[in-house]
Amino acid sequence: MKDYESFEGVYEDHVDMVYNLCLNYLQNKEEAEEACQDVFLKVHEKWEIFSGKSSAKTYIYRISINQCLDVIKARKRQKRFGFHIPLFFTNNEENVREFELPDFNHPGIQLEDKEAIFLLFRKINRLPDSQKTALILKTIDGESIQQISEVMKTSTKAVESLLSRARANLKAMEAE
Amino acid sequence: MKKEYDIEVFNRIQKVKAPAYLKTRIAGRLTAQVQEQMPLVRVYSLALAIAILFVMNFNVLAMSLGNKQTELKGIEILSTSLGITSYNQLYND
Repeated sequence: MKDYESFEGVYEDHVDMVYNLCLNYLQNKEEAEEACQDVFLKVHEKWEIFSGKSSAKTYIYRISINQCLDVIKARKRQKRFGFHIPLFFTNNEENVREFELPDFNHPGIQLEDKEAIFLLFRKINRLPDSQKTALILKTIDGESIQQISEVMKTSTKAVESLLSRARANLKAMEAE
Repeated sequence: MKKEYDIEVFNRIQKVKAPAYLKTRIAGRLTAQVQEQMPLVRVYSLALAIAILFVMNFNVLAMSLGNKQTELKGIEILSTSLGITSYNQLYND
């Protein structure tokens, strides 16, 4: 485990990882930037409490995921009380889902892949939080099962099960 | 068409470098947080001032209650020495 003497070192080593995770989780550049700032403020605040209980990367990953989940919760709350859903929409699930989606803005996606990835993200956003987290960490961030299990505080078997259920759910959604 | 939406499409997502201005913004928010925190001396002095205010209020209330009781006693002494009643009753039944 690397010992960090200053917050700046921690920032430099992890900022890209946090920013990319936020982007993949939130799929919106502005929200990802905001979330990334909040993550590092929390890391700064809790750095002394952490004191090497798990690796810095795992710890920052956990804070980032929780921050992204908070942003998604806030987004849903805002839309529930706002007037984002039109008054005369048809009672079609796909139609309602359309309004739950953020403005898709991911700088890491090429224009030609944008539609395919957007559609896949739309399906992933319908997965339970744990399945979505495991899938993003594995398929996009390329983390190992061991690392994901540490981040999610669960066993490697449980992560494998989450991933297979996530894939099965995605296939089922495709068949819809 | 279905192949297009396969999960492997995620491999095409490129890693992005975090914008440089994020660091400046975080530094700005950190300094703003430090400025927002009230110094401990000010917190303690405020608590002390509130405590003193409570004690003084309590003393004033206690003193005013004590004065009322002594005033009543004085009226009773005067009425008995003059042979009159201190209550509002016309006939000594």
